[in-house]
Amino acid sequence: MKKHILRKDFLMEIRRNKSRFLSILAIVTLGVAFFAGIRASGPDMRLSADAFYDDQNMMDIQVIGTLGLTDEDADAVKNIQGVKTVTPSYFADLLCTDRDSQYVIKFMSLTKGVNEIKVTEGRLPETSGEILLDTQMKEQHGYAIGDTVFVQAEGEEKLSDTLEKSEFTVVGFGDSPFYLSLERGTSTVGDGSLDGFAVILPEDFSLEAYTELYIQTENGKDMLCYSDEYEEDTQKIKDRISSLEENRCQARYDSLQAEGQEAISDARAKIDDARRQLSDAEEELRDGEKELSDGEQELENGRRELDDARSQLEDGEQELEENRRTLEEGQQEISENETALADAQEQIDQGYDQLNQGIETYNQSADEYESNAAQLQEQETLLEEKETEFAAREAQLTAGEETFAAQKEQLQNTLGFDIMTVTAEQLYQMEDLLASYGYQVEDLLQIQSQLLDNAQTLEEGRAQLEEGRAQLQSARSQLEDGKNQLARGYEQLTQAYAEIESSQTLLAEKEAQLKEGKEQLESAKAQLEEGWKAWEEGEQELLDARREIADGEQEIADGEQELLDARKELEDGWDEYREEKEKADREIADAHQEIADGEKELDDMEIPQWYVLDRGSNQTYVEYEQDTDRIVAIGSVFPVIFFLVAALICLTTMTRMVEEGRTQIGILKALGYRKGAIAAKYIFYSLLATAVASIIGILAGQKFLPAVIINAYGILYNTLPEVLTPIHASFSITSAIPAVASTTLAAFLACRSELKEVPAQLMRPQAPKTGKRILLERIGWLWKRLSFSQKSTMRNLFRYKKRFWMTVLGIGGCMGLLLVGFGLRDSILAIGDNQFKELRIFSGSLAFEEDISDEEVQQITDTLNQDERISQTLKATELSVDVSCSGRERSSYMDIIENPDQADSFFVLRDRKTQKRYHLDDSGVIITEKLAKLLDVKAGDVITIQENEEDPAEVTVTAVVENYFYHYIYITSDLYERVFHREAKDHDLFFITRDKDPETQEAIQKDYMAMDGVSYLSFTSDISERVEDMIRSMDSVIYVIVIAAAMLAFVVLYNLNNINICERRRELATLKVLGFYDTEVSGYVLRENIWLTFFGCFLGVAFGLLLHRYMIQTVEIDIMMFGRKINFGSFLLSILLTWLFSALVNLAMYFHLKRVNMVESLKSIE
Amino acid sequence: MEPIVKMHQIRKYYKMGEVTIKAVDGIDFVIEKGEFAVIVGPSGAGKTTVLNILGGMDTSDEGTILVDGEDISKYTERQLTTYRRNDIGFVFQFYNLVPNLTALENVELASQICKNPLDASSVLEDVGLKDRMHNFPAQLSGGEQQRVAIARALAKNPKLLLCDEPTGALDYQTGKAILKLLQDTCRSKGMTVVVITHNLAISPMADRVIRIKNGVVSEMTVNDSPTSVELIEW
Repeated sequence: MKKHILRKDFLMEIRRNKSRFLSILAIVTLGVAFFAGIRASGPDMRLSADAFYDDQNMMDIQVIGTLGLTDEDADAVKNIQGVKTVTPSYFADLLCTDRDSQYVIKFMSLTKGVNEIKVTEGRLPETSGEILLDTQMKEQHGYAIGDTVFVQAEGEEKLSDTLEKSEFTVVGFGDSPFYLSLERGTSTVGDGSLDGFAVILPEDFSLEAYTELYIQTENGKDMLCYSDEYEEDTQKIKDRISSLEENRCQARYDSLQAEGQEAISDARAKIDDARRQLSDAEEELRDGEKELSDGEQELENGRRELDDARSQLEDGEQELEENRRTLEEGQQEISENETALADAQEQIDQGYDQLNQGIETYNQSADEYESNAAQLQEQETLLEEKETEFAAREAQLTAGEETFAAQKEQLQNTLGFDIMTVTAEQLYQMEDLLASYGYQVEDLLQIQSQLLDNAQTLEEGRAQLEEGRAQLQSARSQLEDGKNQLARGYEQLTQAYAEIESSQTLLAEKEAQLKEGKEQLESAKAQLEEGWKAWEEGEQELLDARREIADGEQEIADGEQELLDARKELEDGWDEYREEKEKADREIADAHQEIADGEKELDDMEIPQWYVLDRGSNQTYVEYEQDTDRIVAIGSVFPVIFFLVAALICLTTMTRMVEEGRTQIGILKALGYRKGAIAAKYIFYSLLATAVASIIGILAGQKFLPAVIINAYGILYNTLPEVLTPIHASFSITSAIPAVASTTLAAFLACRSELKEVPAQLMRPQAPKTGKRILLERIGWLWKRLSFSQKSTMRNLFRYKKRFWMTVLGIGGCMGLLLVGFGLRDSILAIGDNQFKELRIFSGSLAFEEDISDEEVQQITDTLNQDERISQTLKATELSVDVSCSGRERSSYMDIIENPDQADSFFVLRDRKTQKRYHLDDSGVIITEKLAKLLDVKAGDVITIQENEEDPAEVTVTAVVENYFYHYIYITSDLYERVFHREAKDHDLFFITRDKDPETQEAIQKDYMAMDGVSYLSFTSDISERVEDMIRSMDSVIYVIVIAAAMLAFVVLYNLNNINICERRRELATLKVLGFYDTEVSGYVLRENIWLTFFGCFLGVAFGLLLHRYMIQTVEIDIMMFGRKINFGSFLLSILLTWLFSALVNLAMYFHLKRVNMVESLKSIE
Repeated sequence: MEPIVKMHQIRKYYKMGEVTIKAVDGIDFVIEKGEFAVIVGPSGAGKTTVLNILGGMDTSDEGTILVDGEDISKYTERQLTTYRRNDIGFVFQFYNLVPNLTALENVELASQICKNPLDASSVLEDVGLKDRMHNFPAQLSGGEQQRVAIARALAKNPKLLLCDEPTGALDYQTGKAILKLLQDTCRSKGMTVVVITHNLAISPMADRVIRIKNGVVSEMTVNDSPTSVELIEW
């Protein structure tokens, strides 16, 4: 119950003084957030990387054998305790050519389950000839899916020793866990720096043995990479693998030796074989020749035989012909005889026929004779009748003619003219006359025609009569003829009869003759038949013989062809043999050489070595670690300061609070409350504030800050896919516990000292602090010169020492952080500015192609020299080299300069501190500052330079010069030749352009890149831009710091001022009562603040400079040197910002002061 | 002669939530120049409020205050500050010295800002602190501190010296000595001194006694023959 009131008091305390509670809350939140957040950033970066590595199954250990590795090696490693997987794989650095550029690409075989590629576009290669390229090749060199990559090996090496194919089709793009950043590392081929990687199927490699084994350890994934635990575990397994090395390498050596020996003996056997084959071939050819001549002989024989056969055939043919002719003649005879017989037969038949006919004709003729005699009789009778009829008609006609003539006569007599001869017209003319005679014309005309008709009819009758007379006369003669004929026929008939009699006898004779002849013919026919048959057989025989001969001829022709072919073949065979022999001889010679070489190689072969490497051999793995180390470094300094400032402020605030509660403590104590109960209020107060603040700070800090910082780094480490920002128990605890503990302890301690006193003492006002003389007063002349208010300010400043230091430290710390923030920015920007505007001041460089001739170099140089846009050129060679000195090694560029006198307008070789200029000469090399620092080398020391696999050489360093980006070794070409014993190849041409504008640069670049013999042309401005891009990532880290510092500065100043005013409320009220105007009262306090800010700035500058130096040395990476200077502007800006915060706080304070009530002055001291 | 202070119907209210407390409810009094005036009354009677208003540290809600003919009740805050600066010397119960300044500097703190200040060291000498001039307040006793406070007030050469329970934190003897100093200062320099106290016993030494009760002046008497401090006992 009694606690209830205390609890209420506690809550009232918070409510009444919100600003104090909130200021503790804010300060602790900021402190914790920054402390936990920045410190978590480094581990979060590692965690993010670890997650990526785990996701892609990044190998833990990598074994590279100098003579390759075998499946047996893999099996042996697999059996090692702690090894989870062993994946053999290939890699090779090769050149890829594009339209006009050449890239150095690391070809890797696709490995499943280890070092997996994160495909960003397309897919992994699935069949031979497909390739997945580095995403960077797409982004920077414009490759696209479907493009063809043309691969070639460098120099005289054969691509087929490494790859099965020389062209690949791009099927995808991806990121490899090998490369977190844009950097791809170095290579021994091409220009010495890798442009990207490529993944192809293992079967596209033609290497005889694996180049490396990727090993994943059992525990690798469970442990955080970069952690000691991980590294120890890996080291253990590495040691175990290394213990295998001797055996495996010996085995590998033995097997290679055996293989080599075998290969040599194989080669020898092959040579013998080849020789034997050659002699076999020769023998075979000779056999062939012999066979061929045998064949020819045989053919000749055949030919002769055939000729014999042919003549035989001809004889046979002739004989047969004769036979045939005889037969034919026989045949002829027979057929003639047959014809004769047939004729005879016919004659006989005819004879018979004629005979029969004769008989018949005779019979007919006899009949005819009889009928003719009868007919003739008849006709005689008929003719006598007709002759009678005729005589009648003749008499009739003569009567008619007599009538007519009478009529006519009568008329003529009457008329006087012959009517028959006049015409109708004539009649009409004589009409009147006629009429006088009593005739009408018409009647006359009718009579005329009647007369005319009668005349005609009479005439016709006469004619007919004449005709009939003729007919009768002819018929009489005919009849007479018939009678004569008949008489002759009779005679004939008698004769014919006699004839028939004689022919009958003749015919019978002839028939007997014919029969005889027929019999003779039959026998002759049979003879002939036999003769034909014999002939046919002969003919058949002959045909066969002929066919045989034709066959034989064909055979011979074939045989000839065959022989010809065989001859040709044989000749070809000889040709071939000669050719082959020549080749074989050469090959044999080569093989001998090879054997000799192989033997030498075998002799020279050293027992191979294994390189058992962990992830530490991976460049980005290490770089990333270095970067996280840097963040850790930042995290170990910045937040601590931040945190300390915050803790101090909290401490002051709590102490002040307890002091304010002094009287109350006394009262409570007097009332009999136990110490614990009284102290609990303050302890809980601070506990509550800091606990809440810690939670907010832990959450916000660890979630927000690492994300901001890692994302900023993401520009550099673009492969990193996601950012993990877990809440780390360790950082949470280590930031929250001190925050809570320190504030709570402060509260406790403050309470304790108060609680020790007796209540009476507590209720009395605290003994005021004794005023003290300050040091300044001893300097009388100065003190006297100070105005009163200045004096009081001074004394006030130094009176509250705790407050003084708190404020000065607070302001100084914040200002220092601001300065470091801006300074880091300056240092980073200085890289680009100094490097390319003050030190390496040439505009750009042109690289020649690898195997360029001296003439071409001269030609390009001339072109460049004559180019109006270019004012100066310098022949130089820039190489990648390894530099070492007393066990330390770094890679660097070596610029071999032909004409050092010219070099001054291209490089400013000067000492950073003294600005002294150096001149390059043959006495030694000049190296850059960071390199010197890393190697721990100074002028006069000797360094070892090694170029690729060549022999290293030692040179003296004559000077160390300022440089910010990369390392350079400057050497004259004369010295180079002397030291390295070889001539420097023309490789680069540095130039300075007249105009610096980007258009001109672009034009120059375009013009020269297209030129033959020019590998590339680049401008330093490109590099400086790239540097700027790279370092921009740091910018955001810096902004985080600056903003945080600014916030802290504000909070610190406000809080301290607040406390100051609270503490001196009474004093200020008194001043007011004494008649000080508001501005004077404020001035009284603000003057102190101004001085405090002033001192704080001094401290801040000093602190900032120290911290800046520390920071840039931890933050900068090996190949860079950050600017060592902080720009004046940054000082100014930090100071101005600090003053601005101070002014803002003081403005707020002014209003606060105005509210101070004068009545306070009347109150007793609480 | 016009009185140096003339208060007329001064009223002051404090609003405490719903309730309005009348701290001063119509005060009327006058103080003549060169008088040693004592304002007495029980706790909570409103005497401190009167002093605050008179000293320009607070303003009245009603009424007029004429100080040397000027109506300060109409003053703006800045005018009031100037008034405090030049015309008023204040002596607090708890001295209110600036601990970081020596005795002399504490005096100078006041004298440096007013129009016609007295020499700080001579004022200190006058209050009997010649040898302790360069000591810090913490090195001085309560009485000495109050002397410094008085010196600080006097050095301004004010028209009124206002003292709020100047002996409240001091022991009897020292308190007496301080009162003596104040009385002597009044007599020798013709300074008008107004002392607020709840101690009625010291009223005989005053030229004028103003009694305040419940926010009004209950009685104002002029003592024609004030007693010397040495003779008063309480």
